[in-house]
Amino acid sequence: MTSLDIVFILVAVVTGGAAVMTVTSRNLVHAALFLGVTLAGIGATFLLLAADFVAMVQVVVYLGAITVLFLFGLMLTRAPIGRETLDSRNRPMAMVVSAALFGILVVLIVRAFGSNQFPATEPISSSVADLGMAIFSTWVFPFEVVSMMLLAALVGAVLLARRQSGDSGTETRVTPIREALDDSTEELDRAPAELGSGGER
Amino acid sequence: MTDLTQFLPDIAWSSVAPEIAMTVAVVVLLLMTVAGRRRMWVATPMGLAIAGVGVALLVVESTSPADPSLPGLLAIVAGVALVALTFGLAGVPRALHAWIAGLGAGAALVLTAWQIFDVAWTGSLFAASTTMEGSVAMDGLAIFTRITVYLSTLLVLPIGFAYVRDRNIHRPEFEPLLLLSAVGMALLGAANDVITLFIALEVLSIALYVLTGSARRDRRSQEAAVKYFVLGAVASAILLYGFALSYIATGSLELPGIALGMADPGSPLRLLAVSMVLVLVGVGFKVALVPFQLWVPDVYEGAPTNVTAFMGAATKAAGFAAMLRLFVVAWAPLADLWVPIVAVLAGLSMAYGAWAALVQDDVKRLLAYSAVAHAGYATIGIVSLSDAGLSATMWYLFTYAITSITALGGIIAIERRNHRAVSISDLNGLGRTSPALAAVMSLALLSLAGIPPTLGFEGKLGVFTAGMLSGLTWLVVLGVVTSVVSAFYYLRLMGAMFLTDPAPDAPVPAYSHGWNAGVTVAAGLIVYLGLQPSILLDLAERAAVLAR
Amino acid sequence: MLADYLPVLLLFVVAFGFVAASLGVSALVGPRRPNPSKLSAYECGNEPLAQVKGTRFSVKFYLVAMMFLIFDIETVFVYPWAITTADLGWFGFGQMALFLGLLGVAFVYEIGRGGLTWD
Repeated sequence: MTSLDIVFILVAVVTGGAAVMTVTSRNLVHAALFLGVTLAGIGATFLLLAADFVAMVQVVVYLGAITVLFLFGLMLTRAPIGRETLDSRNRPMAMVVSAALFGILVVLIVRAFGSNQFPATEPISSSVADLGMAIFSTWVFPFEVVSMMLLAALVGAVLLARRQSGDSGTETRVTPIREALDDSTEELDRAPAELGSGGER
Repeated sequence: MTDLTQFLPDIAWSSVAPEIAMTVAVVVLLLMTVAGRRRMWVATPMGLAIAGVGVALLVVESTSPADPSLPGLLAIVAGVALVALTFGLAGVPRALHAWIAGLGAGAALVLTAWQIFDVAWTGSLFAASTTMEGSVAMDGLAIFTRITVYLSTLLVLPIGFAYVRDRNIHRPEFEPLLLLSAVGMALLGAANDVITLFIALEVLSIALYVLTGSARRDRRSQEAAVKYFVLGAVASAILLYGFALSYIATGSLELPGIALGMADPGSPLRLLAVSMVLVLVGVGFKVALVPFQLWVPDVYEGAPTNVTAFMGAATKAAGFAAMLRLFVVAWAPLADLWVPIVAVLAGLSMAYGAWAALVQDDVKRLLAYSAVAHAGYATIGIVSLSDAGLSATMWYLFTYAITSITALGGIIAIERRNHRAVSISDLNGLGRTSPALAAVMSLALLSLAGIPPTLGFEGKLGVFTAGMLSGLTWLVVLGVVTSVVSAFYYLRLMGAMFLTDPAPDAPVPAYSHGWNAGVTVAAGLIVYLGLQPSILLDLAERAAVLAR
Repeated sequence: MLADYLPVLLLFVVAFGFVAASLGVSALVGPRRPNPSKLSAYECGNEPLAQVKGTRFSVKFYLVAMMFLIFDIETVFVYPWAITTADLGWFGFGQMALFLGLLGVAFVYEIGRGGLTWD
C-alpha cells in the first residue's frame, strides 16, 4: 500500500459518499451541492491518475459550469427547493435496480480482469502539448464535429428558453388570420420578449 | 513552420462534402434569422462566397473543360440560388428558410451521388477507404445511410412546413436544428472510431431532443422531450462506458483496431463481453429494440408529427448504420457471443411491436409500436452476418424511411384540421371524403405491412432471404408470423377508411403545395421502387463493403 | 509529479482545519443567550412577508448559464491548441478558425436573437 493508494482510497470514499448523498438527499439544493463534491472528487481522481489537464477541465467545466447550471435549473422551475420529499413509489424499485446493476457490473468487471492483471506502473504524465498534438492530428475531425454539437446545443437552448408571442401548442387558430404578417419572422421577433415573467399566460 | 510538412494529417474534405453543404446551409439560416429584414446583407456575400468557392473548385479540380468538377458547379448554382431565393421570397421568410434548408439537403443529396461515382466507386464496386486519420469511413454503408437520411430530410421539410405554421410552433431554429440533426446522422453512418461515433450521436440527439419539445405549449410534447432526453442521456452514458471498457481491453478507439485487439488471443474476453453488452444497450436504445423501446410510444406521440416522421425514418437508419458498423466491424471476433443475443432482441421486438400495436387507438402510437417491430425486421440483416444481410438491412431501412414518412404525412394532413391527436375513428370514411389521401395512406400501410407490389415488400424480402441464407430459420418464421399479425392492424386502419361511414362533422384534411409535392414524391417512390427496385437495390447490394 | 500538488493539499487541509476549528471552538466555548432582537433579521433585509417557495428565476439565467458552459468547453480546446500552435502552424490555425467560426456563428445568433438582452 503506497501513499498513492491511501490518497486514492480517501478520495474514492469522499466521492462515493457524496454520490450516494446526491441521490438520497431530500433537499434538492443539497443534492446539487453534493453533486459538486462528487464532481470535484472525480477531478481529484484524474489528478491521481496524472491527468492534470483533464482534472482542470473537470473542475472548470463540471464544477464551475454544470453545477451552476443545475442550481439555475432548480431555481427556474417550480421545483420544491425546501425539504419536500420528492420520492415516488418507485424508490424501492429504483434502489433494487441500481444496486443490482452496480453489483453485476462490479462483479463482472472485477472478474473480467481476472488473470489479466495490468502491470502496476507509475502513472504516465501526458502534457497538454501531447494532448494538443493528438487533438490536431488523429482526432482533428471529431474536434470539428464538437463545434457542431455546441452549435446545436446553443441553438436548441435559444429555442427552448426564448419566449415569443403567440407561443402555442395544442390550441391553434383554425386559419392563420394575418397570413402575410404572420409569415414574417421579424414581426414575431420584435414582439416584447416575456422571458421569465413567470406565470402561465 | 519547419514542422508543417510532418504535420499534415490526412484531411479529405471530399469525404464529408454533403455534410459541409448542410453545415453551410445551417450557418446561412442562422445568420439570416439574425439579420431579419436586412437578410440581403447576409445572402449576397454568402451567395457570392459559395459561388466563389465553386469557381475555385472548378479551376483547381476540373481535369478538362469536358469533365468539370461537380461540387464546383453545384456550389455556383447553390450560391446563385441562394441570392435568387432571398430576392424572390423576401416577403415570406418562413418559406425562404424552408427553401434554403431544402437547398442544403438537395445539395447534400447531389454530393452524395457525386461521392458514389467520383470518389468511392471503382469499376462496379465501392472501394472502402477511410479518411480524416481513420475517423471517417468512405464505404457503402456510409453513403447509403447518407442517401436515406438526406432523402428523408428533403421529404420531411415540405410535408411538415404548413403543419408547423398552422400549429404555430414554427421557430427560426427549426430548420437549422433539423439540418444539424441530419448531419449528425450522416456522420454516425460514416464514423469509423468511437469518438467520432459518439460525438455524431450527440449532435443528432441534442438536436432531436429540442425538436421533440419544440411545441412548447403542448404538454405532451414537453413530456416527450423530457422522457427522450433523460432516457437518451442514460443510454449515451452506458454506450460511453462500453467504449471505455473496450478501449481498456484492446487499446484502440478505432473500430478496425478494436477488432484487431479482440482477435488477439491474449485479450480479456470477459471484459470485451461486458463492453459489448453495454454498447448493445446504448445503440439498442437509439434504434428502439425491445427491451429498450419504452420511450418510443410517448415520444412518437408527443413530438410534432413532422419531427416524428423525421425521427422515425432517419434516426433509425443512422442508428442501425452505427449498430452495423459496431457489431459487424468492431465486435466481429465476438460474433458467436452477440449473434444469439441480438437475434433474441430482434425476435422480441417483432413480437412485442406487433402485439402492442394491436390494442392502440391513437394512430401515432400505433405507428410507434410498428416502428419497434420494424427495428426487429431490420436487425435480422445484422444477425445474418453476411454481405447479403448487410445490404438487406440498409435497403430495409431505406424502404421503411420512405414508407413511414408517407404514413405520417397522411396523419399530418388530418391533424392539421383536427388540431388534436388522430385516433383510428378519425380515419372513418376517409375513403369517401378525401379519396386521394385515403389512397396514399393505404399505399403506405400496405407497404408497412409488406404486401407485394410495394416498397415494403421488397425490404422484407431482402431481410428474410438474408436470414434464411444464414440459417436463422426460426427468426424468419417469427418475422413472417408477426408480419401477418401486423397486417391485421394496418388493415384495420384501412377498414376504418373505406368501410366506415364518415362522421357527419368530420373536418376535411388540409393540403398545401409542399405537402402535395412531398407526399406525391414519397408515394411515387413506394410504387416505382416497389415495381422497379433494381436501381437502388443494386446500389445497396454493391454497398455491402465496409471499411475495416 | 504528484508531489507538485502537495501545497494544494496543504491549502485544503489548512482551509478546512481553520473552518472546523473556528466553528468548533465557538460552538464549545461561546455563550448562547438568545433574545428576540438578536434573532431578528439585522440590517440584511426584512422578514419575508409571503411564502417564497413558488418564485422562479428568469429563464434568461438558463441561457446565460448555457452560453457560459458552451464557451467554457470551447476554452478547454483552445488551451491545447495555444500550447502547440508553434508546432501546428497554419494547419492548426485553420482547424481552430473553423471551430471558432462555427461557435462564433452560435454567439452571433444568440446575441442577435436577444438571448442576452435583459429586458
